[in-house]
Amino acid sequence: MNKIKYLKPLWWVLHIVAIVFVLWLGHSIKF
Amino acid sequence: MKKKIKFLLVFALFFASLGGGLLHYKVHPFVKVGYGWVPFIVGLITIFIVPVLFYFKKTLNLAYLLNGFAVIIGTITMAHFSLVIRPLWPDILLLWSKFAIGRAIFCLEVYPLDSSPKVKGWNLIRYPQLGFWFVHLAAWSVVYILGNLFWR
Repeated sequence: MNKIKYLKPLWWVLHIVAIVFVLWLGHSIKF
Repeated sequence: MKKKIKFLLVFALFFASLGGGLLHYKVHPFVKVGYGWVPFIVGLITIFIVPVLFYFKKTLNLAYLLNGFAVIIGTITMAHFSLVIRPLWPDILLLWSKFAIGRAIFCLEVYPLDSSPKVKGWNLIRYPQLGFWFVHLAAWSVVYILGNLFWR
């Protein structure tokens, strides 16, 4: 299967960055 | 023929992104405050960078990830907009055509054309299967809702 080897060590970093970004997006968008 | 189909799909993705980007820009141009840069930057990335990344096999995975997550961001924010301001459901459906095109390019490159891979169990929700995207759509929605409701 086609795996992304170079992203594997960054798994935690990517998830934390994504969670903070999406939390911030939900926080900042007030329609 | 495979190369030709891939080229056409990359173009389809480019035009779909360009159309979506221009439509979006017409509705509300770059907003300098708050989150306004997000649709603008994501739009630029999906119009000019993602189709190019899809074209090269070395950057195929990155393109597949960027494309999928851009669709997820768009879906969540436009669904929020649809529920609060006015319905944008047709736009969300159009956005998912970009996801399908991206997955088509990915599958074209990764799997032999006449294969039908059997994926079972845990692997169904792991990269690069469709389940991976459903799990992330659900997870991003939950995180977005938490940010919207509890981060004041």
